[in-house]
Amino acid sequence: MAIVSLALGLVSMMQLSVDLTDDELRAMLSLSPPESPTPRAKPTNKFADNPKAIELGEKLFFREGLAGEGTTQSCASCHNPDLGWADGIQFAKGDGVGTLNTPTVRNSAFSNFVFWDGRADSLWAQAAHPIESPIEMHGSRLGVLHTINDDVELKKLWVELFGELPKYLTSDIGALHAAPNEEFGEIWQGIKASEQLAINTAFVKTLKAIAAFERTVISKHSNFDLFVNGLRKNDIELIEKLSPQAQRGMQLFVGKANCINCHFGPLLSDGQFHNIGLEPYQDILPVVGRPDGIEKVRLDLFNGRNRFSDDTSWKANGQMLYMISNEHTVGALKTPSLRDVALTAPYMHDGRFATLEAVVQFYSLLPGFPGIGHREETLNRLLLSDDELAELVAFLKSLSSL
Amino acid sequence: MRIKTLLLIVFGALASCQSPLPLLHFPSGQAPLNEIFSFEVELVDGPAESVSVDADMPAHGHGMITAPVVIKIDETHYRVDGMMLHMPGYWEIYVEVSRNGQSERFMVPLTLEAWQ
Ligand code: HEC
Ligand code: HEC
Repeated sequence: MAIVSLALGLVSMMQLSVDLTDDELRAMLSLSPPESPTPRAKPTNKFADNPKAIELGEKLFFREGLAGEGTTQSCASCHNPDLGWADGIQFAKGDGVGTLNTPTVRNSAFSNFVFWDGRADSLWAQAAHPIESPIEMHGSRLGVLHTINDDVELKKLWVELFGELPKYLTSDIGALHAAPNEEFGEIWQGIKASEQLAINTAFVKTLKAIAAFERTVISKHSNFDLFVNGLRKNDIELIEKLSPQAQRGMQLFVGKANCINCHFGPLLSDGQFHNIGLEPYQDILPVVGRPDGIEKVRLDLFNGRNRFSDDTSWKANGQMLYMISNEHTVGALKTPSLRDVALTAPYMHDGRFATLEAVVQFYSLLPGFPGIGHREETLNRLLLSDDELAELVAFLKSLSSL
Repeated sequence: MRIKTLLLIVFGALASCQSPLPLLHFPSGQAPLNEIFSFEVELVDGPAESVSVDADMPAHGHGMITAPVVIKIDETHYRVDGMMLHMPGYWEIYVEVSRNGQSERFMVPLTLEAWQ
């Protein structure tokens, strides 16, 4: 354990409640680097870090009835800041109810692919989906533009930032809703191609403002970070921020329980897709996951390589050129970040586990067979003791923003 | 582990092979974890008809989540685009070199750590 522990200082090491190997120490430090991470530059959205876009995006995110005439919801109806930017219920509830649990939007700016199956390759491409989903906001792209046009404050900010709204909005024959989908497709088809382009362009700008705001929703320092900081600085008071129980949980996380295999880096997520082998649940059809996501993101008109991206170079979203589906990616879903995880019960894509205790119990026993595909061979039954289960949970709870 | 050390190990392990192991040149000397990257393959014993590249995590029974593309730079140098080793642990990179209708498969092992 010499090298790393010497770097940290012996005083620090003596304050630890656990005896960590060199590898465990390195792993622990990698979860809380000295510099807090910031989302990567996003060349597909030239407004990504524009302060005016952030201001507009925040208003749009919280605007009830954003999706147009007859709609009532906002993004925040399901991504509520007081509920960890999620909704606290098992299945998202919009104009209908689906079979998926609402993930938090906190830290989603760090992901190369969003949604459980990664079918959007940016936050702006993602935001189009809930607006037009019949079970979520149940509106349309044209509806959103009407909302902005009819709202003095939103319109002012929008026009200052993006210029004129499409003329179609104020024409006599204009419809209230239109979108290239089943519900509003006929109306959409009736709109001239040039008007469609103007609507899509204005819609995409709106989405890019929402994304700019979401990029600011990220975790802050937690007790775990203070603890690691304390180790780096030989500050006993900070080291004491992580209870001995949580320290043992941290050791399990990076060591014996091998959670760090997928939940690595400062977000405690690899941003990748894995099949962890959850059993079939109720009578819900298992989610195909990544293969679906790959097919959809490639076809998405709003993906980072398409005409509405601000970076259509061959370099944009390079991964998209090479990714593949195979038998190993069937049933694979996105690894959630574990920062602030204590705030976003229930857990997993279908919210099947009400508590973190139930989650770690699952990893300990790995019961049954997956509803689809096969469980990744990296996962082995851990058969943890009751004390160890509680320690892991204590560690997960130490990851909440202060 | 550094790739040079690894190459030595492999060289020993594959001493029974006829041809010397191709050299792999990584952009920053090392393959990155969980990032798309390119690297170069250098054929030390002369030109070949074709080169292909793949990688696996034998312990996990799965391979890469991307399909890399090999582009010929000159007679003995090839660039491999779209590589991605998405998980920490033990990986094997396979380089298949075809000459005179026969192909030879070389294996380069490497271990990626979650903290690298
Ligand atoms: C009716 C509830 C509901 C509403 C309203 C809603 N969402 Fe979501 N959101 C969800 C659900 C459910 C998912 C997961 C869906 C999936 O993966 O297929 C999700 C996923 C996301 C994600 C992906 C997170 C990740 O890390 O993968 C982001 C970002 C997001 N929503 C942002 C928004 C924005 C922006 C709006 C408003 C334009 C919005 N949501 C409106 C329920 C909702
Ligand atoms: C093979 C990769 C992998 C490993 C190893 C792994 N996880 Fe996960 N984890 C995932 C994936 C993928 C999901 C989402 C699965 C789903 O929703 O169906 C997940 C979900 C979770 C969740 C729920 C988060 C949420 O917001 O719903 C928690 C908590 C969690 N993991 C903790 C752990 C702990 C603790 C360990 C170690 C005992 C661990 N994970 C090991 C991939 C992994």
